[in-house]
Amino acid sequence: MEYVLQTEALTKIYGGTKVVNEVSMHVERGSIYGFIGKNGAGKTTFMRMVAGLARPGAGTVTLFGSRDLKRQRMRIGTLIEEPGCFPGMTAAENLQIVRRSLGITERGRVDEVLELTGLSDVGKKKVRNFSMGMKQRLGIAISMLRNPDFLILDEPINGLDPTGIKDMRDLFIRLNHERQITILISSHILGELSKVATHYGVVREGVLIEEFSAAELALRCRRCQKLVTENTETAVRVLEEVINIHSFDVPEPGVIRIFERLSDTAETNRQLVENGVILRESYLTGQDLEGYFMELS
Amino acid sequence: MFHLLSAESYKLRKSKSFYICMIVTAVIIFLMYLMLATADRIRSGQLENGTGGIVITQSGDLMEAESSSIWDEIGVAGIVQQLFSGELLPCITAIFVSIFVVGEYVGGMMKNIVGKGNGRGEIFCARLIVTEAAVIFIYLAAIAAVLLFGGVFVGKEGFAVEHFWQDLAVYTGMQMLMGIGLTAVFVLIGESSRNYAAGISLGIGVASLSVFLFSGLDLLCRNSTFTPSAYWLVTRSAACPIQGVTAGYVIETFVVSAVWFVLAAGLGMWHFCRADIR
Repeated sequence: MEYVLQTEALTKIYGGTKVVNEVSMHVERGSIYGFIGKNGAGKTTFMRMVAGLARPGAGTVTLFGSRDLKRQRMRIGTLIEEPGCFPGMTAAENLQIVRRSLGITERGRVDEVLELTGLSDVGKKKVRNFSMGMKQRLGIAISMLRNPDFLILDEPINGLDPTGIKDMRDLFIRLNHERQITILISSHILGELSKVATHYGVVREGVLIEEFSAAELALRCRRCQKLVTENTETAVRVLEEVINIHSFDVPEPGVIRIFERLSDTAETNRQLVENGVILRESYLTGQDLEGYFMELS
Repeated sequence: MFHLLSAESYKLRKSKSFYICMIVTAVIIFLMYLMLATADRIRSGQLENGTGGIVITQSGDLMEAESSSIWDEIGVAGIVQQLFSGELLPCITAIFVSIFVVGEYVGGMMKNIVGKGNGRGEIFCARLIVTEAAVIFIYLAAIAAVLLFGGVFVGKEGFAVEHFWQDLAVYTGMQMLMGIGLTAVFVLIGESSRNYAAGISLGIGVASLSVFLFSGLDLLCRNSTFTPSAYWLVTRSAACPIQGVTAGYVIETFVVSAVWFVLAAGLGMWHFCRADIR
């Protein structure tokens, strides 16, 4: 597996509190990694450490398989918290400053990223007069200046209206598909995140509690009949040989999740009991993404 | 490093505060001349005929005194000295440097530059160099304004002092030296405060209140040969003579300025390299 970002026990301590606590994250090349956690969970601090804006208290960061972070960070674009720009200047002027700071010699690059983010027609309008959505687009434009291979976006759709959110979502998908840019994106709008993310990491009180793929998530959230039994092996045999149910799994000993014949669970229960299975619980379950994330975080 | 200097220069060219500070300095210099010209006209009795001027009479007779112009006493060189001996330029410098340095933190632009292949030391140096250059521009603009308005208000006579241009060049060079040291102190204040209100108020405080502080220190040291105010940039700048500057004084000024510069720039860079960027 090729990782764009790997952290090992990354830690940040503020005032004696571990705001990021030994986080070991793995972001695969080509993925869109949704970073989920409540306010104050440590998402922004983690991103700032990866971007080189904050010093880790402990742990390591590996970018593109290398520890030469000064060189590798040239390949990343960031939008952390609100977009960094001078409000009294135009979008193009702000981009010119960043272009020069990064040593990008192509002058046309500014027009390219303005075009890419849909800001090419803002003209001489000062950034202070931009809407929230336009500012976020400018932040993305700034992060795209050096044609990054990896984008780190912290709450990029905060404050956007539904159209703005859709535009951003389309842009992320386009950048990921057409330019093969790996994206690490944090957001509170979980429904939106689930429309773009291919992988997830959930952080709670500074601890990365779980990483999983979108496919795994779909499976975990799938509607099923959940059985709690004392004799799992017998139950599995009865399901396969007697009732002819094959779509099920055993996530842990004593628990079986059945994904078919959900409209006739009473009949399934009856046959299991008749064949000697002791059922302690049997119920239909299934969560939406938001409910699942809330439970985790 | 060159690309960072290019970016900082671009930012400076687009910075309204830079132009506003130069314009404000020029306007204040114009007002200084205007006040002196008015005083001169009052003194020479040109306003006596119904214009509210001061008319001096003795026993009903208008005093006929030999007319001596205020410009004979002050001259353009005197105005240059007044400009640097007051708190105007240190305060203008404090305001400009705070806005220029703090602006990158307030707007968040610093986040786009740090950690993108540029070393923090390089970023700090580039910003310091361009800020120093901008302050030198402001000083030069101030000198230019003094000379320009001097030509308008005083005329050629204002420059007709022996070694005027030579003394002016030496004096300007000395003030630049001290200005460079002082600018590094203001950059340190802006860098460590990262806040407009704190940066500007601390800067103005250092520019103006430090004079009182060092006067107090001078009083405390009155029984020794050590004069603290001679080693603080604002007070030394104010006390700098415009004529008869010796090589020893120039070297001492260079050393004082260099020490403050190295101290302030070193501390500023240390802070910038260590502190998290928000």
